Amino acid sequence: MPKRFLPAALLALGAAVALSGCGAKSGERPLTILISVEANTLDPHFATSTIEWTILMNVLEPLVARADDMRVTPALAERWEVDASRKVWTFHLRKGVKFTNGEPLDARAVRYTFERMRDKKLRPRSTVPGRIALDRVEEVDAHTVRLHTRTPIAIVPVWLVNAFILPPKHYSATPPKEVLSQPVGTGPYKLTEWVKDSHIRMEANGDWWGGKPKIPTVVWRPVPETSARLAELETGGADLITNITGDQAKVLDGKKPGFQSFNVQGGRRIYIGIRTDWGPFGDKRVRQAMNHAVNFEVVIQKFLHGHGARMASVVLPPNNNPGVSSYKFDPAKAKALLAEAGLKDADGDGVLEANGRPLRIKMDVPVARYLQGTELAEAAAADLRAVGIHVEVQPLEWSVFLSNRRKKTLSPLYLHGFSSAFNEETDLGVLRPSLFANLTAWKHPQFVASYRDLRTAFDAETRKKLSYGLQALVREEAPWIFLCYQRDYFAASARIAWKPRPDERIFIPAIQMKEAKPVK
Amino acid sequence: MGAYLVRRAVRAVLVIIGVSFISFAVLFLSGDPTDILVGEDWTREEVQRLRRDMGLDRPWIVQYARYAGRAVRGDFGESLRYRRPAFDLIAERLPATLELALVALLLSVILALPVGVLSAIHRGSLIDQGGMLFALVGQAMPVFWLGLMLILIFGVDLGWLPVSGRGTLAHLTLPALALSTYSIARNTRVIRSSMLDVLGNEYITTARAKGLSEWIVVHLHALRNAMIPVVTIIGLEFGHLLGGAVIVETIFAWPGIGRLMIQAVYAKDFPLVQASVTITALIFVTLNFIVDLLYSVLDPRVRLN
Repeated sequence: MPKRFLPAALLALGAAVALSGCGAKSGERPLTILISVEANTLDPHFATSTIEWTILMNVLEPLVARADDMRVTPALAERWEVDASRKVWTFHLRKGVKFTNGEPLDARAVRYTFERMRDKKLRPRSTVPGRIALDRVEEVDAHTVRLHTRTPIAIVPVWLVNAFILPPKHYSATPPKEVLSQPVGTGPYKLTEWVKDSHIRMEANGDWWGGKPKIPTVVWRPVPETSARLAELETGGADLITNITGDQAKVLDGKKPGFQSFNVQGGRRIYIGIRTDWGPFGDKRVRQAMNHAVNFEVVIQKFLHGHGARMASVVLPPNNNPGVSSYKFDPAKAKALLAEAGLKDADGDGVLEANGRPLRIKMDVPVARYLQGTELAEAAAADLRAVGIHVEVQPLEWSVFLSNRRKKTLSPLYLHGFSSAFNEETDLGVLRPSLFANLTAWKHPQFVASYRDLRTAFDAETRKKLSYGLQALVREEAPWIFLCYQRDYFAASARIAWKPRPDERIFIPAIQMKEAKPVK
Repeated sequence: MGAYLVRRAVRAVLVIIGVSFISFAVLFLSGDPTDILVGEDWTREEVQRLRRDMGLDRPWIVQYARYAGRAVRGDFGESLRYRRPAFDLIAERLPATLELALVALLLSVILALPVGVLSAIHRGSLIDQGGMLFALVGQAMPVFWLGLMLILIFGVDLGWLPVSGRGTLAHLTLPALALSTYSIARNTRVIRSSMLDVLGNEYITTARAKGLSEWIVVHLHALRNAMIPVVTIIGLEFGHLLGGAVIVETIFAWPGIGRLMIQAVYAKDFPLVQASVTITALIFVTLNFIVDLLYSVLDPRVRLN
């Protein structure tokens, strides 16, 4: 029996191998990108995740986009201006642009889009109308449109980056349940197929106003397991993969010819939140001491492959105040500050006491959420213990961390990361007391007042002055233990040339295909 | 027979209600779907409004009652993340999972049957020892490790098979192999011991005494009776394979309900988790029910008891 069985098994395996070769047409292989998560919806008014925005930005376009250097840049609007009341924004649309279904891009499409964002029946999740305090949209002529806001909002263009303009006929004629998988826009690509959890296929939009994209077909595949993504890259099943670790990038660079890795300083600010409503943490000297206690140079070398530097305050480049420098590792100064704040180790057990109670606390860290998050937390905790604050790291599953964050039950110290919209106002906004994800309970009257001024300051110089002042204040007050900007790592085959963006998004026209053979 | 059927059916319904109740309670205690849906730049007020809009500020028992009321009419509600009926999302992905589980089951039976029977016939021989070693290793290997090893060996090093996704028969090979290994190993043992039991019976000795050839004794007399417990195991095995698909689907990026379920759990997508758990339980219970019926047909003692 085994004799008869074995050939049959081999035959089956042989057939399987032979079949795997079928269907792969030589020549025009699509650009294949492996992503770690699946898009849930491609309706821009319900999208929330980075991957959804990434897919959408290749199919749809906003009035104002974010350029590779993260500054706002004209997209469907060629230019814009705000009037003297500072509540009326006029956008001048690019002429001769058509949606891929043939509808024209005009003021009507823009009005339809903004009205759909706050359609009471549809109940979309778009935050744009709220953020820009949208009152109404006015069609001036076919190619001029005005957004009226209820109050002066200085950074309207920043908020419009994700406000993709939609063709009215397609979106009003297609039921919401279907339209979420059939996005239609003016962008460089047309979505031609979406097999859920399997792949998304896009074809170049030959009529794109930016010029016909060079890469004709792009396939996005969600592959949740990192090792599987790397395996696909190595076997030629993918050209670009996202979300790998620094270690994996190093391995790839070190010994695998034909492959390359990319990394970029991302927008996520990793910090340890200090709950200033807990015990001695209300004293800024204690918070400064904790910042001086952390030896971040060692962390960079040991865990971050020497990439990046310690964050000085909360605002990302290029809007950061260059005059604000990061906290220096100085355990002696840390100890002096703690003593100044009245913390003593009376019983000599190596742990400081505040009002007779030893400083034994926990630091919550979400598991597998941030790159090397647990390692960063452990390193910081060890440094804090060295100056007499006994910190124990408590790893929490992400959903538990989120739930505790909402219920305000996180420990006195918690490792967290805020993403960025790459603007000084939104960057500073993460320290607003009204923000639900901000558990520092830090309420500084000067911060509140200056931040309010910043929101209504339209003049670039005034904004810079206010923002720089706020950054210095935040550094001085130290509601966080400042750590770093998270790096994003990617890997790719040698046949592409690309430079990753800080906002984790992948814009296909920015990718070049090298037609020549792989290097080496 | 009628009373037996009714009893089994009632039990099946109770199991499904129990499963849906427990999964709802556990999920509810572990968090809140708004945690995933809100943006980090939201204010407290905005978060509260979303919770109210979604009806999440009500007691969970009220929410369960509302869910259960609709579910019995076939309406499992709408996924919070996908904003589409949960049932549709599952129906879209069920074929992929069934394909994987069925092929794994087939592999399991095709491989386990000859190895198990041969091991029993040649008890203590090299074949038996080899077969049992395979069974031990197969049961001991964690599926996520095996999956990654298969990818590295057959995908990366040898380059024979694609490492992820669904499409051709070749795409199916590695995930099916990873999924079925445990089941092959287990079935090999079950078949072997069942066969050994039967071979020790007096009627086998009688058959041999009649001068029948060993081939007929084994295949016609022993194997048929040895199959009774195996049928039960295989029926339930299918349910286990559906469950095991959760891990395999994630490793191999197989677009089935296992991956959907994992994502739904992470996102606290209550309606989707509820629907997928309930439907999986329904499949499991139905299979169990069919096996019970088959069993009572094969073995009259079962229904008389």
